[in-house]
Amino acid sequence: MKKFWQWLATALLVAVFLSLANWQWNRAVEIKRPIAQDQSVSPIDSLISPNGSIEPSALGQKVSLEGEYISNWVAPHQDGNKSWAVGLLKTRDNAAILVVRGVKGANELALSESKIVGYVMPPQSEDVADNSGNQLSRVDSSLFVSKTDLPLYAPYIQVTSEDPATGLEALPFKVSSKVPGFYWQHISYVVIWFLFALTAIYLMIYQRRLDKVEP
Amino acid sequence: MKFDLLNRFRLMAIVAGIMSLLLWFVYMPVKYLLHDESLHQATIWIPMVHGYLYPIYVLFAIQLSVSKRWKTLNILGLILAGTLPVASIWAERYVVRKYGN
Repeated sequence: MKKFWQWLATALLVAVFLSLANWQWNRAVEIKRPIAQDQSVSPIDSLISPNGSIEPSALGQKVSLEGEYISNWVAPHQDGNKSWAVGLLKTRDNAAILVVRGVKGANELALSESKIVGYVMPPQSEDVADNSGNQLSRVDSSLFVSKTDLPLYAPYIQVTSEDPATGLEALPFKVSSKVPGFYWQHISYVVIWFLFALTAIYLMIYQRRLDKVEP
Repeated sequence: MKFDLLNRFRLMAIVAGIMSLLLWFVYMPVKYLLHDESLHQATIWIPMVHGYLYPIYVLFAIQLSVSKRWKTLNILGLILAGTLPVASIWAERYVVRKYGN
């Protein structure tokens, strides 16, 4: 009976370790998967939510949203040293999301109500400029945590059309970054969990041998 | 110094101990307390290096403890020592006292 429980415990441990390895493997695969462009438009709240984690499946999807711009920002040194016009939009559900409205032109954009269609994009993770004045070091809502009390959406929206129109040059859809995370870190965890699974089996066999020698 | 079973384990115990200290007291505070992406990027090598060195520690810990016919629970303790700061360094001192060098 003791032998049965020992094997059962080992089997459960191995199952847990293998499922953890599989989970880390799937995370690594998601990081490598390119963002697919989708042309069908869905309401934003059907795909992402404020303060929620970033679902890889939502990235690259086209969404519609409405709201009021509450501040304007500039993200310099983007995509071939262009400056992007970025707005912080207060959405109908009383949250805030960063919207890349296009290549910054000479005109100042008004803070007004707007209806937007655009792509859900992952937040940028590397700084390409300083945070100063109305300049953003990267397009990432985490930079606004101390600037607003509104719950923030983690991804940003890259505008394809806006009503009223801004007259700004639209940005091409480009896979600029992938799901946040680090491929080789996840692979190292896959290695560890597999090793733990093998260790559990080995130690079980080792224990059985010890029991035979020293009953 | 011979690169025998005991010394292999000692080397990896010390390395794993240092990496655990960096992981717990540098990387974790940066990731979960400071929320600074640039600092996070600068320290991301710590969990990666720890992630690849720890399995080597585990293999040497198993090799040493099985060769000395340790009890299974003690072997598990030795393996887990590599995940806690200072614990693997304490384990290194323990095996040196026990088996000499």
